[in-house]
Amino acid sequence: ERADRDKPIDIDADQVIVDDAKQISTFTGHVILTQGTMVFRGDKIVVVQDKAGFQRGTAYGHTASFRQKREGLDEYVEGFGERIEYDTRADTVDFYIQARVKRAQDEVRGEHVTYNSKTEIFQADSKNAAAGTPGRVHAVLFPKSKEGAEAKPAAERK
Amino acid sequence: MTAVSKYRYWLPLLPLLALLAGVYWLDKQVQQEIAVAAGNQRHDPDGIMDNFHATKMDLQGVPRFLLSATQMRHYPDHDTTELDFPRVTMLSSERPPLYVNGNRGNVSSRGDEVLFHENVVVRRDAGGDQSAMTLKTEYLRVLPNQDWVNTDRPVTMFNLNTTVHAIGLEMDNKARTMKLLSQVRSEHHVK
Repeated sequence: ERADRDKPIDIDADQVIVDDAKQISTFTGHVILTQGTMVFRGDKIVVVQDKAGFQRGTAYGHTASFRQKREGLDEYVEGFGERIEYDTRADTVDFYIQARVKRAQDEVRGEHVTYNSKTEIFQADSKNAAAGTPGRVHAVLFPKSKEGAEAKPAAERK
Repeated sequence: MTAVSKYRYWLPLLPLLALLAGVYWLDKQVQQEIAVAAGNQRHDPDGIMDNFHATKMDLQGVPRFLLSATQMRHYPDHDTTELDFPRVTMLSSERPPLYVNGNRGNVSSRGDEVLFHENVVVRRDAGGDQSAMTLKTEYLRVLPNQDWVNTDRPVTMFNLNTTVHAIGLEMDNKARTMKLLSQVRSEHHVK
């Protein structure tokens, strides 16, 4: 949700290597990054920091995962991928390599899925899919029943 | 050469052998006295210095390493040096200085290792794009020549808007990298 933006960022890990010259911190070993309701999990998270504050985070994992509560709804958006990139300035989360983003029952799969946590729109494409893979996007959308919340189209086909 | 001349040929050697045996016996006697003399194993300083500042230069004569303490005691039996409230400063041209201080310290006999105990604080001023950094622990090992600092104890590190708790640290001041070894918990306050 939007309030996450100014919550403190907690990172738990087994080890961290802080490279002061390049201002890069590499957290390794069961890494959990939490900011408000947003949670990243991965085997390794690389955080590039500048004096102003937290800049870009990249999570690597067999499947690194992302989870965030939606604004004003008791629903969570979940995303998975071998590599997840998060940029505080642009508020976007990019999932790469077997990317999968789920919201309630709707799910979108592709080689690259971008989720904007401000507008809560996610976009899937297979531009940089590895050669040979079909490079298609696969979306599963559950129609909400009449009395349920109206179903917003979850993803645009790319 | 008959048996007799052979015998006479070896005759001069005998006095030499006797002399050798005598010298060996004499040396044995002297050895024992010295051992007895150094028997008192009391751990007493043989040198005390108060409120001192030491500066070590590099080959170009530029100060690289400053050591000061309220008191230094040298102990001959282990050839170790103990310091009260030691303060070390590691200077370098490309990087901001690194300050280390603590309640107690000791210096190895070769002087290339300084151990800090109790309330150890490591501080580095802001420099370049890097914010100031402070680090607290209860024990720290400093190798000034290698610009290396490490500990296996719990460590707390603060910089501009991040606090990190961990156990174990390895800091290579030359490469400007710092490795926290286990149970890392970092909290970053977004401005």
